[in-house]
Amino acid sequence: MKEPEQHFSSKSIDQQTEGVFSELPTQDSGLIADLYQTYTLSREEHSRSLQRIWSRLAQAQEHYLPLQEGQQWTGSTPLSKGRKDVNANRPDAPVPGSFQRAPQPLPRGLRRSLWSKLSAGVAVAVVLIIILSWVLLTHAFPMQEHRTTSGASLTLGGGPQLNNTIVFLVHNSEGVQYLATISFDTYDGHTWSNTAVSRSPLPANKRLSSEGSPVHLVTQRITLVNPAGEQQPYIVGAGQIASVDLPTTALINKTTGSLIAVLLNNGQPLAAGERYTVQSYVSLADITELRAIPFPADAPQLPQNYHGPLPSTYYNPAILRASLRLPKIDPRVKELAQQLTAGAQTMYDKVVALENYFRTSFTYSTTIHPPPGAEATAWLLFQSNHSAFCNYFASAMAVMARELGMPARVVIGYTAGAFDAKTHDWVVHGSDAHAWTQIYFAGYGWINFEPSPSFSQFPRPL
Amino acid sequence: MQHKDRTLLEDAFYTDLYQRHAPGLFAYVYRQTASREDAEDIVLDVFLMVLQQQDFATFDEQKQVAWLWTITRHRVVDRFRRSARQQHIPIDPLAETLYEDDELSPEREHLKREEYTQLHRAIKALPGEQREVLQLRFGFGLRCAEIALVLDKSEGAVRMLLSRTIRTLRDLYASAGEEGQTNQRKGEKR
Repeated sequence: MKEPEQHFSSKSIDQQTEGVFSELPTQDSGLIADLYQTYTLSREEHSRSLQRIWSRLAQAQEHYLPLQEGQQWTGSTPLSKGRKDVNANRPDAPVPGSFQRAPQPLPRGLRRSLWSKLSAGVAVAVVLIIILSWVLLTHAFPMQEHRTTSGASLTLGGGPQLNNTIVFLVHNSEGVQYLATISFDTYDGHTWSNTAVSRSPLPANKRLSSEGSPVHLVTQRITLVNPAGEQQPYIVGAGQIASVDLPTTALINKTTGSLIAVLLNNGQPLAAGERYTVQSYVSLADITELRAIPFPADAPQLPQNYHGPLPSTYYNPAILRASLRLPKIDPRVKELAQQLTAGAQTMYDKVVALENYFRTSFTYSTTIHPPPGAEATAWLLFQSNHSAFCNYFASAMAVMARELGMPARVVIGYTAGAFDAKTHDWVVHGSDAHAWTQIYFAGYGWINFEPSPSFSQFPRPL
Repeated sequence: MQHKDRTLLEDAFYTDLYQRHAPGLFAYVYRQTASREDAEDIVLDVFLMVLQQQDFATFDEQKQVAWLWTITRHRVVDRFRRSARQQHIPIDPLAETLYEDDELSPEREHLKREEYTQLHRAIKALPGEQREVLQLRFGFGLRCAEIALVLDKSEGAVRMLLSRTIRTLRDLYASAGEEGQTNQRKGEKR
């Protein structure tokens, strides 16, 4: 049988499968866009492997070839520097076969069709996440009852009812580490939640890859002390979880591929005395590096059909879509955010300006009286007497950051707890439940910020 | 201490070399070993050898490519020799290993998304070789010339295979989903 070759002449199939959609029949361009979409996470995973190899190569290189100061291959953030230079030298020269990415942006009609497909999954996902973590969701922003984040242990009532029993003992491989349980990317004015979540079994000790670099692995041994009735079956970790020595289930944002949380496999809390070991990626980004990262809006646009290496300032469009969305917010919120950050030059400095505003102009209190139905950010900023607790600060900082075009999300978990000098364990109480803000920096991933007054800021190398 | 005087150009040379060839080499090793960790180790080794090969930059491009691929293939074979005593690893995993292994991992979770089930089914219905060429094209972002090296085929054969695959997929996709527009095509129906 003779095969018709009209649609894909062999010479041009590379180009045709690279996003010259306008030259294809509608149906084929849709198919190829779907194929790219289908393999997105796979492609990102490979790209991360290549980054890891490059980082290791640069480290090893130091031993082989000592370099003069100021030259490349220094070993610190080698990849981004190397890539930047290549781009600077040859901005328009695509490198065949390098970190290929899905063609973006898609033609408008096509984008719409992708979106309609995506949104079909959203309804299902919302139900799923509500079932998975209904306690967290419904208690993230209590209207009347006042409680902090990890809800399940806290009964309803007028005053703060923080459970002061010990939740777990933590042995850290290093340093003082917060314990994150779950991140939220969607805000509706009252509640933070996740849309488009998928579950995936994560075998014991299987290593997930890091969303950002440079990072280092922090190992924590968690011993459950008082899980009765209050403990979510979430795995806690110092940062983005890399692996757990128990079989677990990963909750992954379908559109961005970001890890949201890790659940114990059977959905049942661990019994008292049970323990697990968790490894997390903790960012090593220093302030100088973060200052060099532009706003998404200012990040250099890649030319269409660009197939070269992704520059270190490249923002994944899926992450931007998920982390910049806002409901209708009082316009004064944006105005205030602009005022507060007017003096800061870089995205990092603007984030810090917001963080400092909350840290210095507010007081921490769990006895608050927000009117039912009020949007939490405007209430906190303009009606609250500048007094609230971590959920409100974390949320308001994320909202203000989004208003300024910075990808932001809210994370909940626990603070480090109290150090027991005898056992060298960190003792975490129910009252250590906490919420904080993360901002996404291109290449470096999600970086922690602490807007709550009276809590220590996250240490960062200068 | 004596510093080697390396210029930016030379560094750009290695960066460029890596960006040109690492994706294809990695895809090849990953396909052969079905282990991301092993693949990362082997590709790292290969590029470390490049750094040790003082005159590598003086090779012409064809020789550079040949050198990289020869060393990589040797490394993969070495690995199988070493591990052969402990366990049996299929030396020719064809498409299955890569594909099925990947499917277990979270990165492929999105394939289960409802709206892609149909496409997923269509891909699954393809012969192994065609699935593999899709994975290399869209999952690794390789071009036909690189896929040819990975699969040890001629570039022309890869182009033919890829275009045939997409055509097959389009037909499967269209007939499974009854997406309109089918008739809009230029009218050649087999």
